Amino acid sequence: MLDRLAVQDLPVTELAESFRMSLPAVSQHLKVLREAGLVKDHREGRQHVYTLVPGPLKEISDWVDVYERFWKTKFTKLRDHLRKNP
Amino acid sequence: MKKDIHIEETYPYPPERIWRALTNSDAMADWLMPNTFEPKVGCRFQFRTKPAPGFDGIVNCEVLELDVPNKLVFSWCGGGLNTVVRFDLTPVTEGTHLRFEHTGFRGMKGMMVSAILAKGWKSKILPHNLPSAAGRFDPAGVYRTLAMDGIQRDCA
Repeated sequence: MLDRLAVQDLPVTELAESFRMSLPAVSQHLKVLREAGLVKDHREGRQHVYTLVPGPLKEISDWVDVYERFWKTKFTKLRDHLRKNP
Repeated sequence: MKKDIHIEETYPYPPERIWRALTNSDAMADWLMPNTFEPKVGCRFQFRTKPAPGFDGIVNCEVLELDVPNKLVFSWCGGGLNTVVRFDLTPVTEGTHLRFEHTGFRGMKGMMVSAILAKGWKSKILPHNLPSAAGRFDPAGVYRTLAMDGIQRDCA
């Protein structure tokens, strides 16, 4: 569901359709995500439209960056190791 | 989000020399971290570094593939990660090309979401529980979990 919302904002009805869930079931699901601060909603006419709140999940992307820096440092050490150990 | 890490390096040495550095426990300790690695498929080994709050300082690994002197693949589990590390060596005219991959970070998103939902965190708490990650790595570069304390034993 979060993956779908990462691409575009979607109304409840469309989310229910794409996950083949009943409207009450998908609403319950979204309520949990909303209370956890992962999505927010607003009204557009008669529809509730849901939007992803990217902050918490962006942190994970930052972790991957930190691991990338970790490995780059290690590869510099590997190069030194190789030079010293013929 | 970014899912994988890819690094490419070329060394002016034959593949055997690189292979030794990648698969000898003492050599790995010199450039990577102290470990109990043995070069055989199925070997379960650990990297050990200084413990920190929420992280016991251990990365649990298992050798998944080994093809002398071309390919080394092992799992990398610890600090909330359940990922795979892969080294591929290819002889080239200048020496040896190394292609490195650290993959499987995508699973973290699912775990993160589960953790957030399980703990019932509110949006106001999240920015405090998930501060910038860079400051939370120990000197060996291993992530110290806070937010993921409850879900770091992901590959027992």
